[in-house]
Amino acid sequence: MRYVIIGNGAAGNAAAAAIRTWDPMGEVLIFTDEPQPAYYRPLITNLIEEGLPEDIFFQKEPGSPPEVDLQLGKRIAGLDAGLKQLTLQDGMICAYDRLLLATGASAILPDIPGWQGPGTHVLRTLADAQALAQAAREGKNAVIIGAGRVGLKAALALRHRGLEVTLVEQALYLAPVQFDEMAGEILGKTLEAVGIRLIFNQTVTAVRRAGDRIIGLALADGRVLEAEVVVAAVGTRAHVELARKAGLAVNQGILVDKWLRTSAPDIYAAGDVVETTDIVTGQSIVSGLWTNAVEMGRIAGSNMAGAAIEYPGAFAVLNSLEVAGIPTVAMGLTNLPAGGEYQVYQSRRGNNYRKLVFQEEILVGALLVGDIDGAGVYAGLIRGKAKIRKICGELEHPRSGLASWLSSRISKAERAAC
Amino acid sequence: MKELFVRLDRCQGCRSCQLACAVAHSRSKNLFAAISETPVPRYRLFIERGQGLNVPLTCRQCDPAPCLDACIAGALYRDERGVVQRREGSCVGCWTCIMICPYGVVGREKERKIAVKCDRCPDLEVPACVQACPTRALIYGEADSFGADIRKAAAGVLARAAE
Repeated sequence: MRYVIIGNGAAGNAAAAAIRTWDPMGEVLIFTDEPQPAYYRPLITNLIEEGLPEDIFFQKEPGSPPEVDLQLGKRIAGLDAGLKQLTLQDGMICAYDRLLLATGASAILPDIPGWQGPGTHVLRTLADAQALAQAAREGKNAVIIGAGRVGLKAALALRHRGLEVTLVEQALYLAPVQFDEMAGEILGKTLEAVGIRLIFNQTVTAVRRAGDRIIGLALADGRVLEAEVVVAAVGTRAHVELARKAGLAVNQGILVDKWLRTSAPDIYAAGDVVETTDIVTGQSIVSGLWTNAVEMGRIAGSNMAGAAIEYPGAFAVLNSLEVAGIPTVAMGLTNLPAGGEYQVYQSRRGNNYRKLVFQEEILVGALLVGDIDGAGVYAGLIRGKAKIRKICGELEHPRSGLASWLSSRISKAERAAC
Repeated sequence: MKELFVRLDRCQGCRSCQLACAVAHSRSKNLFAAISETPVPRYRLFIERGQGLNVPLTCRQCDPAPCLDACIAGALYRDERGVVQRREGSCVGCWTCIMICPYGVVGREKERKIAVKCDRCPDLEVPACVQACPTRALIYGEADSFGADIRKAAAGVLARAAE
């Protein structure tokens, strides 16, 4: 049995390990267009502050399964789902019995005049981070477009390197998908305290150049910002082209069923390239989170090798970020959509903020700033759609709430047993 | 693989297990000296009170483990005993594991900015918490034998009821 995986990231590697567990004798090939072995993508911002850490690359576990055949620097030109074969850019043909599309996503480039040319960056791959680290050595002023997860990490890293940093965000506060206004306000003050300039409710309309050199960034309100280093952190787009050209069902991401099978037989998909279901709202989402990618990879790989594990869906929001010494955790529904029946519990003391969002009997969202002890309990209750209405008053302290919930379940079980 | 079981009806909430865990993870291995160490040694299991019941929350060494999946720095791995361990030097303090552990039993050490979790006391025959429990509410054993003990006790109850 030959298993072929396109993509050497979180999903691809989790799938390879799962396939090995279920089918130790099968042949496993991984194709990647990157020139270096698998690495922890979320760590690439560290390159901006320090050098390249050795352990950014995946390590061999003690007692890990035998080698998979890793083909670096290989781009896939085409996929024939009927003949079950791949055509590589160098002309080589590769047949497969089971195929996994774990092709991920790439950073979106702003469609503004002047973007093409030196000095503008995105931050998605190791190569991106190395280029940005190099630019940070020479530049003095950095402007980051987009104050989401990647933008915030880039801003903090560049500020740490000693650059003057300005963050331009089109929403009214930081990380508007994960945070609400109050959390955004607390974190905004923290960023300003370390010298990062924040501009909200603005967009960048053009990159002004003199020849190749960037001389400024024009904002919609007419201001021009000084900059030598510009980073766009405005979102990612799933790599669906290969699947689309091969006739697979594709929307914003590759469409899959609950076993992560695509519309073509023996082809599975996992990770940032997949369009899946939001575990909280039931809506269709493209995930883009490391944790989700690993889980999807593990389940897709297991299923390719004979298992029948259902993937329950992904958290659209599931983020942990420490900003200047203040830890934050956001999960599930943290910004309430219009309509719907939600009950919100909020508590704020200085820079400590907690918000829990309930819908009828279950927890659907949690936003924590400052004290994140035991936060995973909320993730478990949200994922399990646990009926916590009777003990919701005790959920301010997650473990204590969990203990109450477990106790109530135990008494129920004991009553049922007698 | 040996597991940690909890007999809820026996837990008195004395927290001897938590003290023993912290001391076992200190440099001095002595309660009085441990209190003045920097960083302060942390316990990795938690006794919480819920609805009148004392509930010890311990690391279940899950398989698959949400913390292992979630670690973005490759700092967690599973050892030969099946225990999920932290790799020295790799943890970057992102707290994704804290965010994902459904039992809330991963801790945050502020001093070195690293995550702290139960390591099942690799240097001890029996984990420190189990040794310390005065009522034997914590059991360290194979799932099969623990299950067998419960069945024996239940059989005894049923037999007596039948008389």
